[in-house]
Amino acid sequence: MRNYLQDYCVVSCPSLQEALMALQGTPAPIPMAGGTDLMVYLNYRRLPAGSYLDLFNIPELKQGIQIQDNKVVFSALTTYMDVRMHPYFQNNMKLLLHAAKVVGAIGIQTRGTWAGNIINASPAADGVPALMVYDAKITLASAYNERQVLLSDFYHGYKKMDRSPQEIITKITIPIPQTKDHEYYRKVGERKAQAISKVILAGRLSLDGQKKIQSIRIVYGSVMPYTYRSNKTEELLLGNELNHKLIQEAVSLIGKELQPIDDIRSTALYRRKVAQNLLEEFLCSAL
Amino acid sequence: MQIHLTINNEPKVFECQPWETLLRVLRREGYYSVRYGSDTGETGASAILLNGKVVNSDILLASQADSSIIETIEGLSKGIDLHPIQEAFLRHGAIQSGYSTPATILAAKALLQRNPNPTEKEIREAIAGVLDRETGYVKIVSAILDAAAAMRGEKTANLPLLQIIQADSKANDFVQEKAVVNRPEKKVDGMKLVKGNAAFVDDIELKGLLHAKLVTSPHAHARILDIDDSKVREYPGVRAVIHYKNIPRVRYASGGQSYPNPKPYDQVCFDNKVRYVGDRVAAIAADTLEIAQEAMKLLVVQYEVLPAVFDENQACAPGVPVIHDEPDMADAYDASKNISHRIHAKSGNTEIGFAQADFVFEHTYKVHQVQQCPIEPHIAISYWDEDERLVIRTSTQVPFHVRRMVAPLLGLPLKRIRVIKPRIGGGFGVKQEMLIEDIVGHLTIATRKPVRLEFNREEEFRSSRSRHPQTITYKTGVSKEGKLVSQKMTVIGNTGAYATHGLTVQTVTGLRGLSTYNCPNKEFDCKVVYTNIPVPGAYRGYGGPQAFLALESHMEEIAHALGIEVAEFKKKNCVKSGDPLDIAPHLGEREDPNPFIPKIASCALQQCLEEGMKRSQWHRRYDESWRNIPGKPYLKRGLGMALCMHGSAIPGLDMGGAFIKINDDGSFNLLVGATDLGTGSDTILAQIAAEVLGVPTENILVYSSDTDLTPFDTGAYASSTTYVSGNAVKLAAEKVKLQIQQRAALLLGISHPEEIVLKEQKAIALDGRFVPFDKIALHSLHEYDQQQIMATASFVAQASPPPFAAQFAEIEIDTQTGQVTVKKLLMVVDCGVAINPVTATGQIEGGMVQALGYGHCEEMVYDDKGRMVNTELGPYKIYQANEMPEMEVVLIQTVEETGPFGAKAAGEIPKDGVAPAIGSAIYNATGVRIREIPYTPQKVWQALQKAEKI
Repeated sequence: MRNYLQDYCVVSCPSLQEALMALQGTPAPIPMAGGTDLMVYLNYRRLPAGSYLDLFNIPELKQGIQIQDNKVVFSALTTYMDVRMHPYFQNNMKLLLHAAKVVGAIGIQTRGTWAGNIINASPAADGVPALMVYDAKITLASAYNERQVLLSDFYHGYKKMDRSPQEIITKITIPIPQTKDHEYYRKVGERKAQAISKVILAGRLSLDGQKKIQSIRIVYGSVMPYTYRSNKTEELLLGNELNHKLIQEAVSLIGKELQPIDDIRSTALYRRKVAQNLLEEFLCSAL
Repeated sequence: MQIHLTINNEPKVFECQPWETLLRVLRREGYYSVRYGSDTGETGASAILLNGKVVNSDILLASQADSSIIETIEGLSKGIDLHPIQEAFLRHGAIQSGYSTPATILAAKALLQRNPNPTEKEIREAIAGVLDRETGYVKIVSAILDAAAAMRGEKTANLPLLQIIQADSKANDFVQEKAVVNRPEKKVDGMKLVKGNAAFVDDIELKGLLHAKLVTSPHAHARILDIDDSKVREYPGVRAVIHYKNIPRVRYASGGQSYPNPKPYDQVCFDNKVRYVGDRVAAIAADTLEIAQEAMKLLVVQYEVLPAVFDENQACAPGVPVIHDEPDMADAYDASKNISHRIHAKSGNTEIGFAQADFVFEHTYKVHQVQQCPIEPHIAISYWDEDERLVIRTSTQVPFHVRRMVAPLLGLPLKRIRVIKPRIGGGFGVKQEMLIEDIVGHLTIATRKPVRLEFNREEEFRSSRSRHPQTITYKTGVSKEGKLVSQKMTVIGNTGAYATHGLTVQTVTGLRGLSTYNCPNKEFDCKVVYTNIPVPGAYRGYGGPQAFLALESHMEEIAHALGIEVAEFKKKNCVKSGDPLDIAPHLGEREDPNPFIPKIASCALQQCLEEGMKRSQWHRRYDESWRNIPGKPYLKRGLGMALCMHGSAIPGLDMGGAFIKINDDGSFNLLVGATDLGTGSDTILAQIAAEVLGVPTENILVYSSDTDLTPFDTGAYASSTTYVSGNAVKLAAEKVKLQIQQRAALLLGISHPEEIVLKEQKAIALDGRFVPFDKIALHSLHEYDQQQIMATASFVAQASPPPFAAQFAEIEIDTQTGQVTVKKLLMVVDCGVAINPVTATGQIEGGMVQALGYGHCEEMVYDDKGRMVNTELGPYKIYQANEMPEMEVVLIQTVEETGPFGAKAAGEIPKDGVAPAIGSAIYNATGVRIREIPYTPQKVWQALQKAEKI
């Protein structure tokens, strides 16, 4: 090959340790899992020239899905299809299955990974809201360190996240809910063929005997510049009795809490309004 | 680097670059069934099985697949013994162009391996990743269900569900006596497609092939002050770069139409001005695609950016930039006002009509721009052959037009050009254009090497063709009794930067918009304007879908205002057999000094409507308890309807030729210029010949089309192939039949050859004695008074008998989000006698899905600089298999006397009714009329909000 085209270099490593060492290089290569997001840019030659680190054949990252006593662990290369095919999710933590199914094409579900979806940090990511709603934690490893971060603390702006270029996700840990929760996942738009305007709401709540909200998670995709867990509205709801009055308060507060993106295809006004309507639908469905 | 793979059970070692996709490596190694459709995994055309799982090879690095087990369709069957899934696909007509068929079959295979007894839903989920722009998925799903049963060992030889009703006893008798016509024959070209054989433009290997890239404009409107290509030329591996400075300026119009192409000729190969984002600036040929891509970045273009205009309603406003201000511009209606054409036609006098009417209604509708999205994008390969003639192998619907149109641009005499159309991976009108053939031609002339240019998906969106946006106003006068008295249609059509099909599409809008309902006074007034959007062109339906959205919505609005039930109102006014097509002579493609007013012959429109009302349970439209969903006040149901009418060919213009000859074994070659773009035309033309000649369809070997080998044909457009080329084939077959009868008479010693019947590959005399066709062939070719039994014939359309249909749509709407969910589409169609009911219903199902996209979710979206923002399939949304509504198609067969074996066209009419039927259903559900498509959530929601405030 002529040298002027050697600007794209893909490094493949046989082990996690070697991959993490490769990430210590300057500049650090860009890690790549299933490649379903990155390859798009590579094909159009829109990726910056440089090196890419292929993770897909690293055995330590290919440990599949482990169901343990009180948690589920996704190894880093767990794909959407792995979740679709796993019997456990047919009846448990069904939002994960739901999210896996709405990811575009079958040929993408077989290659696209949950971890890659997290790192790509698209505000419209399908998998991230479902993970966030279950309080997923990600384990980030570098050659010299390993740490856990709560997914809902991971993002802080458009494609901005708490990750150094030397780190990769090695696993995703999801605590198994201990209560029988009311769950909700809805994507306005893409599913049933409309991509023009998308709003995703993933929600989870549990009530006690007095209809008091014991736990609540409200996560939006495609509304804010990153997948967003609405802490303020959750706070308002937590510990209170779920009734129409409270729902109206929550709907009103979420309208203020969200600062929706305004783009050519969907106005902020529409996004906010639909986000409110979905929250109302979610909460009413738990009454 | 080296990768080790096991492909179809064979160990392989390939050399590849670390950044190369598996798609590219597999194709380089000859696995041509793995096909390019996108760079994003969105089309699924590149799907393979990687370790048993469906994976898109366009977004997989070859290096990532190292040590894997790969299956492609090449490994599925040997020779002509097919895998049960392939067999079922053939039997069910699950293949149209066949471009993505290998990927779909592999997805089905992976499913059936893990689940031998899948439900329809599971099948739809499993193939959801492979986009199909052609079949509507109906026959694919039924084929997979059938294959699953066969693989479980159950006895099946099922066919897809066909619902056919004979309009009358004449139709009933007519089809009874047919042997192969009106029968669900297997596609004659199905074998190569179902096996994924090398059949498409890109499926060849040429030594020294260069790869071309087109440099396009980033600006919607700009003058090119200078181009400096010196750095490009210095770049190692670049072989040629062409632009306005080194290519002769020859004016032309790119629409693939009959000679002489409609004016104005407002294009040149490369101009010193660009008129839309995606317009041609330069082209580069290089040793590899990557070199060409890199070299593009080195071209220095100095632009003077000009203000731009995008909306057709703004195009003629004072102070708007003149898009065609070049000094050699001629023949536009008024280029200084951005008007390419004015079209005016009338029958009767609408002014008097409005004065006579008891009520007058006027409404304005707006239709948007969508793209054809064939899964195979534009691709052309050119090379010099051994006779120093330029061969262009191209994915086109119009090979003969391309040859004629490209010759003056290349400066070559026509006789030095040969255009070959191999299989095409879908066209839908976007390939009725001479779009890139001149570029590869110029580059081959410049380099003397073979050159390949393929659009990627983004280029296909930005730089090919699309559907014309229009603003349509109807003004209609009605009598107290609810009869139309006067109707005027005013249209502003947006032809983008170049006029190409601008005149003819807008003319057809008028023709379609003013033909379905009887009215003594009709008028069409149209302005076609230039803007700076990417160029609209021909798209299946050709101006019809625009017209019907407006017409059918408008008619419904009138019915509601008058308090007449909408179906009753339409029935009262719609055309029937014997009614005049009074606007048609004024909206033909050629001026006719003595216009003849044609009359409608076969017509089952009323029957279509009644049958549809029965099947859709039309009474539910007026049933509150059905429209409301208990416990979900924000969800509403609605049922809607639209009538449709199309044409079959352009009368006086469309011509097709056919050539048939006998072979030693009594089989026949049928050579036609007609271009099968997945429509099944090769098959129905074979059926027509087989019916006349008394042979099974598989004894007709079809070849289409090659300007050196096949007779002329205007091409695959205007719903003309069945009607025009079909008649040509029938005439040629009848001539061959005569020669066979004569030869048989000679052999049998009979003096009246016309009494001999051709049946079951035999020429049978009245007394029962017969000669088999192989004897006739051998006798005539080798034994006595030798002659080649052969004949040619051509047919030019004198009429354009309209097919008719009633389209129904059932929806659910969420008023909180504006999301419309289409639950069911039902279409009842009169397309005459369906030569092949499987391919005909396949056309209708597939057409309805495109029409559904048009009305519901497909949309070319731009930023304020005129840059299209959703140039990927995904953000540009095409329905997947698992998102489809239920689909039902019913044929009501009439016998069209002028058609071949009673046939009319079926290809375009399914594009007409879906959008207005959805609009009608939304109105039914919510009481809100939305006069603009597509019915996307935000638009619907906003309309509902607005209505609430009033």
